[in-house]
Amino acid sequence: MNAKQKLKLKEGAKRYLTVAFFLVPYIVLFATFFIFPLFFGVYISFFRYNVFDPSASKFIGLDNYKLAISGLTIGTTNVTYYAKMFWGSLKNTLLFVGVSVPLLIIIPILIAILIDIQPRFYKIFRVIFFLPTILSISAVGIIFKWQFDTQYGFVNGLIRVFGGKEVAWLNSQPYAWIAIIVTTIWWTIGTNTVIIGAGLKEVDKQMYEAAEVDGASYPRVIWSIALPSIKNQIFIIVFTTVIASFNIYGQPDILTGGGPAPSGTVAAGTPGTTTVVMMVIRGLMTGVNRQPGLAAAMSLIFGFFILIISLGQAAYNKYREKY
Amino acid sequence: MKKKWTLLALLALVLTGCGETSQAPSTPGGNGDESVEVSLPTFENVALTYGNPITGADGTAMRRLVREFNQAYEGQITVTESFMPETDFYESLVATIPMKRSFDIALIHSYRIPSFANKNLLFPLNTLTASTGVDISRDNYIPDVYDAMIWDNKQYGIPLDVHSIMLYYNKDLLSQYSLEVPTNRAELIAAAKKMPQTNTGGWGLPLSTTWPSEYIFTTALYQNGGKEIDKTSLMPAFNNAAGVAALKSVADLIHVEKISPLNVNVDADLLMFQQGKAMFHINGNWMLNSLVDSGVNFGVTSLADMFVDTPTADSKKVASRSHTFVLPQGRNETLKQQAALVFIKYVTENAYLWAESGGHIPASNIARNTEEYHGLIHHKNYGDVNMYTLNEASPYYYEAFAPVFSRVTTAMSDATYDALALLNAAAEEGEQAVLLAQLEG
Repeated sequence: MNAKQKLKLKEGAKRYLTVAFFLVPYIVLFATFFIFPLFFGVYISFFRYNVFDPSASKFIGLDNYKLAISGLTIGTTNVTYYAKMFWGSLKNTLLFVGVSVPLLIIIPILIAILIDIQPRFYKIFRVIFFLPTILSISAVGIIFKWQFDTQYGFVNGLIRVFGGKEVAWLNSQPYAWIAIIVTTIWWTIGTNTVIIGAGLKEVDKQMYEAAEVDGASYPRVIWSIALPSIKNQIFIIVFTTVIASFNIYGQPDILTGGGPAPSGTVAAGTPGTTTVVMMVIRGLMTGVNRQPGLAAAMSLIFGFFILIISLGQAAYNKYREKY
Repeated sequence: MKKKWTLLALLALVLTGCGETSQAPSTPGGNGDESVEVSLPTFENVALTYGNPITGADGTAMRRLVREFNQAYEGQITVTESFMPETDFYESLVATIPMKRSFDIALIHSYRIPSFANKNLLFPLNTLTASTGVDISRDNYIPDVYDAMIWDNKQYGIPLDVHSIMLYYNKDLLSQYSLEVPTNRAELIAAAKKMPQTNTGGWGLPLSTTWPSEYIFTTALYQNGGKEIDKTSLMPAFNNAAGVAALKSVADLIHVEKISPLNVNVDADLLMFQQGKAMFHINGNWMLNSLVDSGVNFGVTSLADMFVDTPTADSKKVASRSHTFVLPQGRNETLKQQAALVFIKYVTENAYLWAESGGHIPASNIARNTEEYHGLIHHKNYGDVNMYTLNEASPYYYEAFAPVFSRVTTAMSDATYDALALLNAAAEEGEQAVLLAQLEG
């Protein structure tokens, strides 16, 4: 090998080592906190896993999946509670996603458009809308738990001032969901607003002026010029908001504790505001008699569901770009 | 000189002979004394770790007890305390005990003992108390509370206290309406009804639908002759006439007697009482000092006979729990365990401090017989300690009984509730959870 080849090899090695130096820490963390738990979760989902003595864990095949999807006969009892809770909490999660995601897209877009006009003090408004995002869910949850309190809450206080009747926001439906969604919107619109705002900044304002010269109204300008110009940013926030909304846990956990408890006689179908992540963590991963295998099976079924939706979103985006 | 030493030796022998004699244990954990006297080993710089979930106002007392113990045993035993929120604490125990990296001593709630013991997470204490020379005797504790530490014929814990719910009353409001402190349900309801039952004027007995409704329902269940679980099958046993009567006795206070507003969230009832907008308030004895700090002129009495129309043999029972010292498995160094027992004995016997700051009832008879305890203003009104009843022991207690709590909330929130149907649904859920928890694996 001549000197030139050696130098080339050395530079190549240096380049790759530099890349590795920056990538390896992330890969290690990713493998530790995502790859390993993912494969381990798949593994234990086929076991009645014993956290205190893993060697005593028992291989049970698809029993955890049956328990989660339709129920399993144990002795002479058909254990269907976990299936009812899983499907009920999945229905709750889909309800939350279906209602909150459009609001979490439309409201930030409207706010970003208003800020893009650059009214007086627009920089202060931009900070105000982003500030809640830096708070922890615990703080947000406690604040809104008291704001929505039936007797002492600010919201009911305002209603009473205007002569209305107090609402049991956290204790009845559909108000519990409204409280959760309002809290979520207040807490999380900041990030989406910033992303859309960044996109709007890049739009050539001369296009707005040209449209206005042609007689287009301002809403028309927004609809036909601004929004198409930021379609990539919109896709990003739709994608990330959908994923984040599917994983909702903190808001219902703190505000309603998963309630209100279903009225009437049974707990089947719609378990209050309990979501899938809540069901898995609270119901199955706490206490001495926890069921990590069942929790893993439920998480995997749920993850598969989210994967289908994500693939659908990606396919739509591809179609949209093509046409 | 030789005579002096002979006399001293004789004196030592006499004193030893007059010392506490051993008794055969009447229960498996029992007195724990063997017939042979065992003296304490010499401790020199033994370091112990102690974990607990005491983060509230009673935490001040616990910190003080640890500090005073360390001062009293300086150079011999040093205890380092760690405390954290309850959920985090129990998760840390479950994670660290199997790794043999848990605390040397832990303070847990009594109802968790069977489930922890069933998974071999706790060190059985009966032989340890017998063999170490530390005088921890069943005779010195509330018997039912001490016996609740036994699971599968082994003693796993030593109780620090018994804690329960109490009936707090606003003295000024009682005086305003010329009322006496109620001693039964009829008197309670009659007194509470004197209030205007409005948010501005005040309510008789606002009841939160979520907390401490589980204590309240369990108390009502005991008083109506019911029980949470069947001792033999370990399955739910509350879906019967006693359970229905219990549920109605709680929910009726809201929907029938109308002495509570609807949909009271956790702590909103406490806030009303602290602001003088409630004549009565039900909460744990652990809230005692919080109420003292609020400035409201209050008294406290027991909840005996408050959930039945006619007193019975059972109607004085009040659902309770106990903070209990346990030794996690995996830290099985004998000298450290002996030192741990010395610490436990010290804290339980000085628990009048715990009572003062935390409002709790010391489980130790020694602590309750101190001048300091007798001087506590409110504790004398707690009533007979034997009325405070701990739950039936089962490693699946939470699985069997917890499903009822959301149904209690439903009944308290919705006047059209069907009591038996709710309880049956909870029992079905509980049975399925127990069946799953019992499976090997």
